[in-house]
Amino acid sequence: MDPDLNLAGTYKHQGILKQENPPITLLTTDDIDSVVELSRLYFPGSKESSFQTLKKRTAQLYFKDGELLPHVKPIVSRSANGDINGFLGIITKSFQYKNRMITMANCHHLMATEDGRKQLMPMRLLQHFLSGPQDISLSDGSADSTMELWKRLGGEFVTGESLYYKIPLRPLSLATIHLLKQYPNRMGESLRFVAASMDSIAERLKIPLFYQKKPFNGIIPLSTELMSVLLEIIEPFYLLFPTYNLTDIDSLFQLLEGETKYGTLHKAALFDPNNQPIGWFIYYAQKKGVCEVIQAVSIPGKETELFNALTWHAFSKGGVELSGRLMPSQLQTPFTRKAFSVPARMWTLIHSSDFELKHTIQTGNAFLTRLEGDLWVL
Amino acid sequence: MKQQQPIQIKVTSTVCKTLTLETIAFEEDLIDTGVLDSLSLIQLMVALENEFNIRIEPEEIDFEDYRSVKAMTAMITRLSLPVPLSVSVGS
Repeated sequence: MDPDLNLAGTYKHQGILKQENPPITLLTTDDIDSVVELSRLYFPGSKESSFQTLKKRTAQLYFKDGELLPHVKPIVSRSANGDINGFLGIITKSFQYKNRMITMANCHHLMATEDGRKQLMPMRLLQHFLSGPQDISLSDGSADSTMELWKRLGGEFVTGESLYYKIPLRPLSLATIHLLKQYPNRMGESLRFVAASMDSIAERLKIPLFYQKKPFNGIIPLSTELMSVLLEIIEPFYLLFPTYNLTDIDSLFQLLEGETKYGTLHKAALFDPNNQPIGWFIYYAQKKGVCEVIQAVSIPGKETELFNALTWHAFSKGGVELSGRLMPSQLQTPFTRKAFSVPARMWTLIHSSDFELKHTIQTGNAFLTRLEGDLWVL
Repeated sequence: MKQQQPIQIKVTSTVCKTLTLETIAFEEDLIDTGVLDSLSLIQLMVALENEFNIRIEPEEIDFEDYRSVKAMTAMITRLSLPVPLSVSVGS
């Protein structure tokens, strides 16, 4: 048993012992149904997946073998009658940091019922999580309210990891999608057709905003093995880097491929004409053409090639818009001139007692992407 | 007890102002009655810090300290106490 863990499941951290009242316990397999019910209630996106799919994925995520920190797991709180009234999803990941291994715990899906909110469960769950034995705590894509709680509990948000972009690929079609969202009408189909035709004409005329130039680089499908090799190439450019093995990558790919609500998954690696690696990208393309980038990573200095290839690839798959989160290394690249930066109000949050670790992340020297982020695919 | 009275009055006033309450009893339970939620708790912490010129450290946050005006008064009294100086006396 972890010597820092008492019977109530609370951690003794930095000499402070906090007893939760009402108690917070680790998630068990018996709780999965209730958690999935809650998720479908509080995260409307979850409704797009079937109950059984969510249940399977929850079990797959939280109850896998070989856990890094056995006591850092998803937590639940209960009301007086035993019903779950709060949940916080937690996964752990090991990172390489200056020739040593450190542990990162990532929390997501903070949920509390009305009863749970009255019992201050959002704050209690977060406090419990942050007092755990992990070297660093992370929350990815958090809402404003979570950020407020997080900051009060001693955490901070990472500006450089909280910037999102949108790149129009077929501007008129995109404008029509937004217009019809605001003002749905019977002429929708006709409007879409007209917009698509005009986008197509503008593309043939090679009008810059409407035209994506085919890259000279080689784009090949991204396999588990290739991803592993590319990660090894990228690693020396970062001080803090997640450790992967083939099994990890394979299971992440399976998770991504199993998710259909965001559209079709595309993942590709990019090589220059001399067959030297440039980077890779992973994104979903929705039927309506909105493409959501999960990872777009390049060797530093090759960001422009990467994004040129990515925009062309998404365009060739019928994309009307590309959106994603910028990595700090991509802030200065020329592609951002084509992009709208979006105040997405989704924050990357960190918490650690190690100042150097926090500084490493705040200065863009950590490899944090949405793939090992909050596993938002739930 | 006498020392606590001005603090109690100020705490009551701060709680009422922050949570937009007309009145509040000294021992009224703000958590069990559902008056407080996580976000209003944060607002209350900030208001108390500003009002009493204290700093509530993240690792010292104990939710029981915010259960009632009575609990908050005790916490502020505790936090407002001057930190005893350690004096080393040479031989």
